[in-house]
Amino acid sequence: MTVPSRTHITELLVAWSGGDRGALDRLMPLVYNELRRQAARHLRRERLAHTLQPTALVNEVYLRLVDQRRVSWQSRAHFFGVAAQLMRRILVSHARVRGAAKRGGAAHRLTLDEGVALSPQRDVGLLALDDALVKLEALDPEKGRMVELRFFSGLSVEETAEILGVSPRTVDRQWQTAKAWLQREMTRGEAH
Amino acid sequence: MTPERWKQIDGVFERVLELPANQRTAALERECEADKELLREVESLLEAHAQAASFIDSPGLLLSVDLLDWPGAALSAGHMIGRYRIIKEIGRGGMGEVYLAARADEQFEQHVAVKLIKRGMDTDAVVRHFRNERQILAGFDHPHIARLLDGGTTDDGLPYFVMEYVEGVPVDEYCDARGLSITERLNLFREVCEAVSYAHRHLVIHRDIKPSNILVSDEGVPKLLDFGIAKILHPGDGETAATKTGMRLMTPEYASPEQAQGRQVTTLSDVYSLGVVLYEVLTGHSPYRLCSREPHEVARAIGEIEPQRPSTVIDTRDVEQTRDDNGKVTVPTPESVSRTREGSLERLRRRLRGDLDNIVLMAMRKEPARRYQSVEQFSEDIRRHLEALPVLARKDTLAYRGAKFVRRNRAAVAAAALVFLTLVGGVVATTWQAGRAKAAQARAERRFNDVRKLANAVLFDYHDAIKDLPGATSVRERLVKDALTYLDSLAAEAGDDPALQRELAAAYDRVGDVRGQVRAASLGDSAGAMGSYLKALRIREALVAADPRDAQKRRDLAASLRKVGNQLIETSEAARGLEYLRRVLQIYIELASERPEDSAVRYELAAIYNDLGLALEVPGDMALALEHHRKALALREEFMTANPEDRRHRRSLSVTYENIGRTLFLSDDAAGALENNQKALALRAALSADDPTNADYRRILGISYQNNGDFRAWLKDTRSALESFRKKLAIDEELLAADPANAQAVSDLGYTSQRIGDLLSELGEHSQTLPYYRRALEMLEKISAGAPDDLITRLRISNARATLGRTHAKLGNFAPALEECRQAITLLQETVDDPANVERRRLRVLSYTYLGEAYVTLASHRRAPPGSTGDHWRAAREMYRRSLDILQDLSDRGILDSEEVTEIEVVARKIAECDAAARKSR
Repeated sequence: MTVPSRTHITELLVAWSGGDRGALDRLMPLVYNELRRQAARHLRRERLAHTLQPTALVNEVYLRLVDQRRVSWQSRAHFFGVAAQLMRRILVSHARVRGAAKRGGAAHRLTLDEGVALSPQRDVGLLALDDALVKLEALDPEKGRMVELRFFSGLSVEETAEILGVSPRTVDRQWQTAKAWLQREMTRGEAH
Repeated sequence: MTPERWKQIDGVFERVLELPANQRTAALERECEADKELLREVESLLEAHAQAASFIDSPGLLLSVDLLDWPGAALSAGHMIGRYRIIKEIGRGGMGEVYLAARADEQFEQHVAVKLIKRGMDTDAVVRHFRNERQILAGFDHPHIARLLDGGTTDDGLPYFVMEYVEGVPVDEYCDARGLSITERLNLFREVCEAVSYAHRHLVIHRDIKPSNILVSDEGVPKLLDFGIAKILHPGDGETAATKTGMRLMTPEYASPEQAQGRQVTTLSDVYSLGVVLYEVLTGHSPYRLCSREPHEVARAIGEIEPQRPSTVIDTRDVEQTRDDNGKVTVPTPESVSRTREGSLERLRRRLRGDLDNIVLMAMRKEPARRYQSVEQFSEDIRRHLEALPVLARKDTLAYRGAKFVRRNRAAVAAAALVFLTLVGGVVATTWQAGRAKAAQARAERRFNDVRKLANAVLFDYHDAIKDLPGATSVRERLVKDALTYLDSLAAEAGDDPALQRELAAAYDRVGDVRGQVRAASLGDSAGAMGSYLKALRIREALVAADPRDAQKRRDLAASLRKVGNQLIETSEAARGLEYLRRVLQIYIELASERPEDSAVRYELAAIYNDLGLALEVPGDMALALEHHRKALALREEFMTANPEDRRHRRSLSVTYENIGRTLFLSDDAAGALENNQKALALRAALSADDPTNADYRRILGISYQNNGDFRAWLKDTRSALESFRKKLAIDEELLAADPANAQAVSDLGYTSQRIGDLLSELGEHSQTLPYYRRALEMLEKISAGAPDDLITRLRISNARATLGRTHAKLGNFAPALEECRQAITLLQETVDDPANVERRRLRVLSYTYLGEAYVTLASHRRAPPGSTGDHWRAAREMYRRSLDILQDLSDRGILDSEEVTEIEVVARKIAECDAAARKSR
């Protein structure tokens, strides 16, 4: 499999920012693959490298995939918006795999052809958060996006503000509310 | 709630939150006036905000990984600690940080090292350890131990101390950088021994001796550092006082077997670690190639694997990577290790063979009683060697090892050991005769062939005959190694006779399998196995190069590549493994195009697509994995169509469906996953119907039921999941009945029973769960009976008992509930709580939490006997407290993931509830 060319991806991004919805459908899987690959690489390297910076990860993917000379800042914001959504999907499905392995204990024991056994990994509390976030999005899409950018993409308050086109202070305020709301929702989830 | 209503709540919440806490209530009442519901909503948000789990503040990606070693904020240059000005950070551990600093009031800068506790890590236990180290250093005055200069408390109240700053490099790097000869290395090492011996005389065990804690200055003076987890022996400490390894996980590569297994640590443990350091300094290789950092795996490797002799380990090359503390990877080769030591490999080998082999291995013996009995004795033996006097150390004899082996495996081994000893004797005699008879050409040739035949027989027939005997692994290794030695020398005599070369390659594969084939009984030395596999690979590559059109040789080569590839993937070198597998694929694609009619080749082609698909799942490349599984599918469906009755094809097709199902599940396509798994299941059910006594078909049918159950459980379709697991259970029961000694069946049955219990419990059917939980317990006890030293299993038993206790409590069965809880607690008390063993500690947390729940349920049960509730609340509190202690400690060491960190708050809350209830019931 070859990495799709930068020109191609940049064109898709520009086309999508220009209103071409179809371009987004073609863009998503390409970005998804690259993010996943980079995330996996980071996760593997994490024990050796003492510096794991999620912002850097998304940025890295952006730099790899997009020819910056050809895109406007709106396109950049669009890209990060998509990347955040995709990061969320990657992390949630990653957590789900881990969760399945943990719940299963011996689960995913697969039939040996010349098979390779998967080693059970550790689980994280992302899944409950993801469920809660789905509900928040229904109620308040703007805060939902903000959480995606902050939490799943690991962007700082300033970066998030830039992409959403609001002031850092607004992001900060909304972040407090979203946090409280998610916390409440997740605690309720536990009680049931 | 409507978005409009939410906007209103959100607005009030934001306004109120901006106010100082003491004005919020008044403002809130003003804002909400008559709207009671609005008031409640905002109040609950404020409350949630106060408790909001801090984990949301750290980016999600970080939660997906271990947080161990995540650096906190360091002190910046210029910061003052007491009278010392920070220059830069020079070291960092789990709980402490070390800075280079200078005294601010000195006229000329004297550099010192300031050690302080990391912010947020100042729990009682850490502070205790810290003071311990300071106390130890205060009592020391030795030229080879870094001196304590000063100490105090920072403005934040954290203790710190100031040490002599040692400007130097780790001892192994120092020796290599200077190209020291073996004799020079030994002399330097003896100086290190003096320091350790000095500590021992002051009743201190270091417990973390490794090259990075032994720095050598430019002038060649070694200094021993870091008594962070050292232990002061008190005169009262006798045989019974087990010294547990300290707060921090010690470095596994240098841990003695007793440390790794959480047993008593003594001065002889330091002798062992010094032995490992000397091993590395002399050879450039690490004695163990640990393929896992899981504590029990490490403990097992260190406790079981016999290190290779220094004089032979220097020949290894290629995959044995050693990793220094900074994660830098160095690959020692015969050339690199001999260049920095004695010049030539042969000279180095001669220098190490004999005395030094024996000395190093004596220090590293598994049983403390058989090591040197003091560091002094160790150092003295090195001196005797340097002066060409006879040394104390003797080779660990074959007879001794044989005896040890027989002791350990009385019942099973008698026959095997007999075969083994006779064989080795026989081979030796034959070779000896062959040497003497060299003059008579004909006889020599006959002998040559005899030895060759015998070596092959030992390797394949005899080896296979004892392979499955319990405990035979180490005998197998000797057998195979010895046979290989003879084949090696024969091959040297025979030159490049291709037939002999082929045999030799097969022999290397064998040795690799015994040393560490993954997914099979082996010595667990997977890097060692890799060395052997690569030797086989090289021979086969040469054979193909000499005869590139020979299909059989290319297939042999492909088999070798595949072995290496799969081994790399199993030892988490997926990327490199994939390269090998891709080469295999290439070979088979070529073979298939050359001979399109050869069905065996196409069959293999499908198998390699399958392998690649599985390998791609590991790094998470599901799309590409699926692509490969689908290629395998196309071929396998074709075979099926051509031979609809062929069971082998039906089985392999079912495997591909299973793999596609799992891959889809992992890519969030639950419907596709279920559908494919169903296809696998149907094929297997049919296979099993055709051949009802075939255990393999039953077992893989069970796996399909289990997958189905896992998928359904994930989709919260608990009842269907339950149904699937019940079918799996029936198969497990049947397989166990057919072969009661089958360990896999025992563990499968235990696991399935527990899953069913949990699913029933999710449905609230507590009374039905009992037989399943009991069955799970029974199986665990069976496993434990076969492996009484396996503490993990014993802790699982305590979990199972705690689960039973909790279930009985829910059902109001007071007496059985209390009895199960009592037994669980006894088990927990009997198993040593080794702070270094994280997996075991996690299991303890789980047990104590279950027990806490059990007692809470008892205390709050409506039929609780009057007067008993207070006791139950207190018991519950005690269980939660023990759980909390461990959680807290793990958290302090940065080992917990976010979910477990939130668990701390949950447990703390439970303790508070228990306290409140206990007070009320009084």
